[in-house]
Amino acid sequence: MSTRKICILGDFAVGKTSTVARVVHNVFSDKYLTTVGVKIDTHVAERADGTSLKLVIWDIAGTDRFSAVEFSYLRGASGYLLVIDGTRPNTRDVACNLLAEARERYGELPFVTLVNKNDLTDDWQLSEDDLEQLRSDGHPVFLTSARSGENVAEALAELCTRLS
Amino acid sequence: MSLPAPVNEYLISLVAQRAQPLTLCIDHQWRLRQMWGDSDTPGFKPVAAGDDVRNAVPCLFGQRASDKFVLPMVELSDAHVFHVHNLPAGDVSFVLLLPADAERDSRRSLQQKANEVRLLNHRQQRLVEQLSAAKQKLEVRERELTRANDIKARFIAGMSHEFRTPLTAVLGYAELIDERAGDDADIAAHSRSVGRAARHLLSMVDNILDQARLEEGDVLVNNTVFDLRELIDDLASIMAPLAAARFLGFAAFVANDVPAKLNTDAVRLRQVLLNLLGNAVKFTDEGSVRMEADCHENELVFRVIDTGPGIPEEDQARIFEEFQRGRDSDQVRGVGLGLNIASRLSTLLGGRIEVQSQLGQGSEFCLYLPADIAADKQPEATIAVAPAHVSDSFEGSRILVAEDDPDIIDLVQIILGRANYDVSIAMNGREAVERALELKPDLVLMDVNMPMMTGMEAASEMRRQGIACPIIALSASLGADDRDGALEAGYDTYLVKPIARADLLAAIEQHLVKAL
Repeated sequence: MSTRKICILGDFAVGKTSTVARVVHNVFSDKYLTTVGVKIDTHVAERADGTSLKLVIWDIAGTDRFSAVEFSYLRGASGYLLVIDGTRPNTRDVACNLLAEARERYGELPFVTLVNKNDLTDDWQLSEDDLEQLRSDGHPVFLTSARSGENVAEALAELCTRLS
Repeated sequence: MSLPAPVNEYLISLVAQRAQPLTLCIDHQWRLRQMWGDSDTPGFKPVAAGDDVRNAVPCLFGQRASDKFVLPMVELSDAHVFHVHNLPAGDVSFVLLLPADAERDSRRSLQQKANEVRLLNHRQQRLVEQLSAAKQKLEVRERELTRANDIKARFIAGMSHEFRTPLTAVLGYAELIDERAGDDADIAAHSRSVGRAARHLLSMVDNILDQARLEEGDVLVNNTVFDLRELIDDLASIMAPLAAARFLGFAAFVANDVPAKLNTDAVRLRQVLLNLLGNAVKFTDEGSVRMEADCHENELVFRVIDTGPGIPEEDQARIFEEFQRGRDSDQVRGVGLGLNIASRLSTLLGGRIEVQSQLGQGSEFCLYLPADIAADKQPEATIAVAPAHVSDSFEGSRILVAEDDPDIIDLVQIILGRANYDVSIAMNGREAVERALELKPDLVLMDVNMPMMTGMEAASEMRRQGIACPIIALSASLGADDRDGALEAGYDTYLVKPIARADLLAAIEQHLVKAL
């Protein structure tokens, strides 16, 4: 079984750790606990072609731009899960900036974009136009909810498909 | 800074002991050759010689063993954190795992607080935006409501105005037909039915207008000193015939301790009492209606007592609400505004209305007013009682009638002609000015809203041209602004359509007397 390192990127409190917890342990907690440094988990994903892929998931502490330390975390990654909080529009800009920085340092890598907290409909602030703009910028967009699990597996499966 | 060799060696030894590094010697395929340190270190999965250490330290996936690198603050299994260093040395590398749980906890505490503050700021900003948006929505809604209220007020005022002119004609002609009916009882009965229906329609229009004004807070109390007993006599003279027509007894009593003079809004008090008395007569099928005025413990009490069907207890509060009527009121016409208006007017006068009633035993409505409205002053001059016929001395007086409604022109012409006035007609304001200058009338009776030139403009022009005779407005508009504007323009008094024939004649004679 081949192994791939993927990194999950985004601003603080967008739901990166919750998304990983949903992927790896299929759980969710309402309690917000900030990540310090990087948290490593592994997960075996089934690919569409029936093969298995071992993912080493790097859950990198939320930041609005990468320092040397975070760049060191990205080294050797095969792809990214980019996470945006749909209730905080500025997290879209942060995610796009992080992706641009990663590309500049390590070149083009497969990624998918998770617009998370889709369950918080009352607080939702990203418009359909915003999402369309992301899509037209080349983001494979998934509206996800780490709380309910909505679309999380689908987003991961899409990334696995895109990983070489 | 260089230190003596023994000190240097001591410090290195001390740091190594404190750091407690777990050291793995690996080949460049990540296979373990040798290990130093405690393999039971929390967070580290034991690994045997020859095994791939990346299964125990998965953060090494994606790295090259031959590269020197540092991965700070890496959380492995069981939430334990290490600083991971890789030190290549020839064909092997040394992987150092330095436990950093305490450092992580310390940094997390600070970072958590900082992030939570940022989230709170975001939520606060969002709440401010939501509040601002809600405020804007409310302002828009308020503007819409204000506009809707303005439209409603204009509609009701317009409706009132448009109804009054034809009702003037209906009531006036019904009265004329009744007079001409002679011995034909059928025609007399029919004309009275027309009159009753028209008066009912007029009372509904008045109620709707009053209700709208009360809603707008547009009803002002205009206190005057007046004789209460005269008011009661007046009410009795109105209600007694109505009660008699329904074969009901009617009586009004005023106790001796009731002050002779009151200082309150006589028009509104009259309206409230008329409403209570009117209801009592309408809803009572047999027996009597009685009004009593009394003064009790610093309160004036007006009781309207009937022998009607009574009001169920559960309805007694509801009947004072707008558009609400008693359950058994279907056989009596009305829209359910009268008691609401009476109640609100009584509040404006500083009082209240209460009801006591039992099914089958009649009702008693009590209007309580503060006794301090009793006045020691002399009553103001009251309007002279309307004469049925004009005094002989004014026969032949020239009256110019300016009115654009042909039915009203005919009606007024008949009424004034029968009173032996010499009547001339103008169909609009401009013609009225021309005719006034030509005829030099003794009095002008002029509508306010007319084509070509409004009554106000015409009155103003007449005054400018030296016409000094009394000018009486006969208007379908009840608005205070219209009344004030008319008086300012040059009218001497302002009468509202429909007006009883006797009242019209009285007003004309009064002003002819003044003009002498």
